Amino acid sequence: MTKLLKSVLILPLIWSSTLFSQSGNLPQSKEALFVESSGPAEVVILATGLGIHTPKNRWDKPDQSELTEGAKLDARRSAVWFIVLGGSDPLLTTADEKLKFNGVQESFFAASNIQTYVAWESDRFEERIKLDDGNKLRIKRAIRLNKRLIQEDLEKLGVMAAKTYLTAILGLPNIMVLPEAPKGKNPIDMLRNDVTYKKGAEVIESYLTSRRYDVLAPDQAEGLNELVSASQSLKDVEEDATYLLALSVGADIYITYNITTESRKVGSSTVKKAAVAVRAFETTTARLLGTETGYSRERPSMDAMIIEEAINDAIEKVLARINAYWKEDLSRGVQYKVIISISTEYDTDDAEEVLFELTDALAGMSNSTKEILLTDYTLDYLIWTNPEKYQKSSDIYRALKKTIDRALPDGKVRRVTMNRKLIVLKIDME
Amino acid sequence: MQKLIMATLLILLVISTSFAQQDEYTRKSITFLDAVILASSSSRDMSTRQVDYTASGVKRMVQLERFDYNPIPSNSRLMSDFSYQVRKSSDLSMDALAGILNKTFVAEIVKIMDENAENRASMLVDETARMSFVATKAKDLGITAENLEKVFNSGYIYLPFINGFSESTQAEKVEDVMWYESQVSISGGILWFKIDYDDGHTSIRPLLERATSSTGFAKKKNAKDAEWSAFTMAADNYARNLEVATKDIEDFKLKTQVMEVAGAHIGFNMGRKEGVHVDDRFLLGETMMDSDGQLSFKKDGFARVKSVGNNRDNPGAMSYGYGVIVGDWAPGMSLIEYPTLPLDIYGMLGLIPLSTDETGFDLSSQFALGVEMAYNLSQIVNSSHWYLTGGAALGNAQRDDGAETLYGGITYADISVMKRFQWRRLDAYAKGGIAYMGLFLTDERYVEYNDRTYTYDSETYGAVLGGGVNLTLNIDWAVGLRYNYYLGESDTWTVKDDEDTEYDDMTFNTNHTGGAIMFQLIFSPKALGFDPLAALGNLSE
Repeated sequence: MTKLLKSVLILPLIWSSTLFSQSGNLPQSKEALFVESSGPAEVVILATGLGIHTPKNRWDKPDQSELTEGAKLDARRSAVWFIVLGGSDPLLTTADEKLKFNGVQESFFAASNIQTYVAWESDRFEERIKLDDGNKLRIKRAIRLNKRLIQEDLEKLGVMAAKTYLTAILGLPNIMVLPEAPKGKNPIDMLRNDVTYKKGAEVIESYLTSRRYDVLAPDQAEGLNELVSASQSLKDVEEDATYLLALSVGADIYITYNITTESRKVGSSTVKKAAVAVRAFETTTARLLGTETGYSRERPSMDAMIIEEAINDAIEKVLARINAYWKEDLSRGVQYKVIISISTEYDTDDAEEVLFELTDALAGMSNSTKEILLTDYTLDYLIWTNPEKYQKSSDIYRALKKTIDRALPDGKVRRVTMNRKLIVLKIDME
Repeated sequence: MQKLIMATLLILLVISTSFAQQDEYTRKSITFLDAVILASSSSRDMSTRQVDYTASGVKRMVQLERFDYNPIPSNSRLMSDFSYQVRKSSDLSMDALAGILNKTFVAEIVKIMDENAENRASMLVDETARMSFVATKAKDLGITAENLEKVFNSGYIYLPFINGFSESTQAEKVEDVMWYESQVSISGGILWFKIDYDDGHTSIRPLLERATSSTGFAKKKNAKDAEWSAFTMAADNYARNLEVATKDIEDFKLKTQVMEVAGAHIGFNMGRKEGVHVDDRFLLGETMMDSDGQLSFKKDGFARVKSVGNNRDNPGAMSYGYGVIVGDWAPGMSLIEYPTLPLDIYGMLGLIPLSTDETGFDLSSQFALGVEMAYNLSQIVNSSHWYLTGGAALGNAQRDDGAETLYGGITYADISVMKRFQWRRLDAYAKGGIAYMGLFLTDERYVEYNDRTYTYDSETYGAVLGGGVNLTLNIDWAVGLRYNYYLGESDTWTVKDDEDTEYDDMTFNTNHTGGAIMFQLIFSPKALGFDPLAALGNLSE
């Protein structure tokens, strides 16, 4: 009976709150289209706004100014909604963030708050159509929003995990940017010798640095062979110099890109169009995190400009996916790739015993592990550790060394490579 | 799979239509040929001077600020090639002419367009593109291939033609002086061709034809003067009609969005660069979508231009207008030019003053009909609603001495300056000028004695002051009431019989001073068969 009473009381409450949320500050149209990323902080959105008049009786006609102002406000709200929740790469990606946002969305979409994000909006409407016998007005207009400010506000509201908080625990991901190199070609040489690729890297790096990511610039490819020889697992990707470079510099993520340009004549003017494919990978696994192709418009302009325009078109979406990945990874801990190879001088039984001890040790020190490769003499693991316990890779190395020393007293542990992401060890017989 | 394809197509459709800007005028580039197609045997009777005058008149009037021009030198080889081929051709249809243009001019026109393409394309860069990274960060003009193609696809060629011409002159001796009265009629128009550009290939196709006709009159002491004056009157009016007809072509109509609305006043982003003039009329309206998704344009009143922004020097300068028929207006609504001739025609019906001081006589008029032309001077004075008016009213007249009544008519004509004050549909005006007042009476009392009818004429010049109120019915028509106060008096009558034998003047007071009250109907035409003001000048002795 009490349950029934409770239900009777709660149901109208839910119903009234739903009604309130529908008639409140939330956008009506929720229609928007990404136009361009006009810089690291701002994006241009073509947003649709609806101005709605609900007639009280048949003589109640809508006021044009109210409809127009209503539609303009709704367009702004829809544009912001698109950044926060809409499109393929919204700011809020996790269920937790969306739940938190539900609690603040009424005040967030208040007209005065929304206005603070608008850097510019077009005077002209791209479209203006009356619907529903004139009781509804639909407009489309271009709006430039300060996406960074939206993100900062969501962080302040506690909806998104603040960058500073992430930085304190995990640090922002280290990213390396290199052109996509065909098999057998060195991406660093491509970067050095081709101004087009150099421009591409500059634009992407400009985006990354303006968002305070650490950008790693590989200058030389020496030492990769040693890295490869240290691990059986890397032999399969021996020809992927970019992957190996990212591993060698300790990048969390690496971004590759390729650029194609086409030209044709319109009258005597040569118009060019650039297409840039940007791909982001998790360094430790070479897992593809996001890929997007950006296009410039056809213009009678210099190459650098159309390349930048095409990259602007793609990078924003790729970065959104990197962020989503990073947030998810944060929940598991700090990720390391650990490769340990044991000298073949040991017999397989001894080696196996050591490997078992090592896998146990890795499991013990990590929040979670993932086995990439385990052969008679090689171990290739991904581990996620608690950053409060293991603040850097040397802490992990120290713990592993203790385990190895205990299991193989006649073995000598040699560090092949160790950086903030990768620990490659070799155990030789003394 | 089918669903996926459908979804992809739908998304592409949404994306491609989302950036189709609302209907907006974009500058056209016009090529004019210094040639007139004489398309009938009568038109081939025209002298070279007449043909050249007509061509230059049309060129002057059709050379609108809203166009860019690709001039072809009149004495070029291309021009003589074209003229030769036209002369040689027995078929002067638009298709045949388009074929000749394709053969002779297309390459040259594209070359001229190409020289200016990037400059013209830069004017097509829209507001959003001007705020894009390309324009703001890269400091580029923001031109796209689409803009360039639009420039190459905005080319038009016009060719004036005359397919009817007649002139006649009559001589008449008046008081030992020979007068020549000429009448000239011209009919013809403009052929418009469109240049299509598609991936490097250019072709010319017939677009449309705009036709008009015009008549001129003149009365001079010299036959050649009379003929030429009548011809120039007809040709000037013909060219003016074609100017309006050109503005009225859908592709060439000025169209934009209302940017500001404050009560009945609007602001919009067009101005001197597009040739907007004070008092020009613009329709307002908006796109409606019905429940079936069908789009239609709903008109919602009209406005006239009050001040013209100088967007040649300042691209952001706006023009402002005032609403005449004011709808429920809001920013973003469409504004579409409604071209008319810069004049209004008034048709009037009412009473005009007539009286006498002579004791025992009653001189009066019971009704009058009138016509007035109000030429808009606003472009000259750069202020709204200033007019030069010229009008005439004809009424009945009768003199009654208690025993007998003489009947006749009165003519009032005036030239005035008028200022109108518009408040939405209502406007009030005040005018002042000089007036001619004439009266005739026919006396048939002596027919039975000497078989003669006598005519008494009285003429005088004076002043007229007036005012009135009008109500605008629609963009073309208005009705109103006017009150004019005439000042004029005469004491002399000329007396003639029906054989034009003059007698000694008669003294009789005729008083024209007084008020005239008339109902009026006002029309704003798009074309006129002749120019009444020019006719008045040409026919006055």
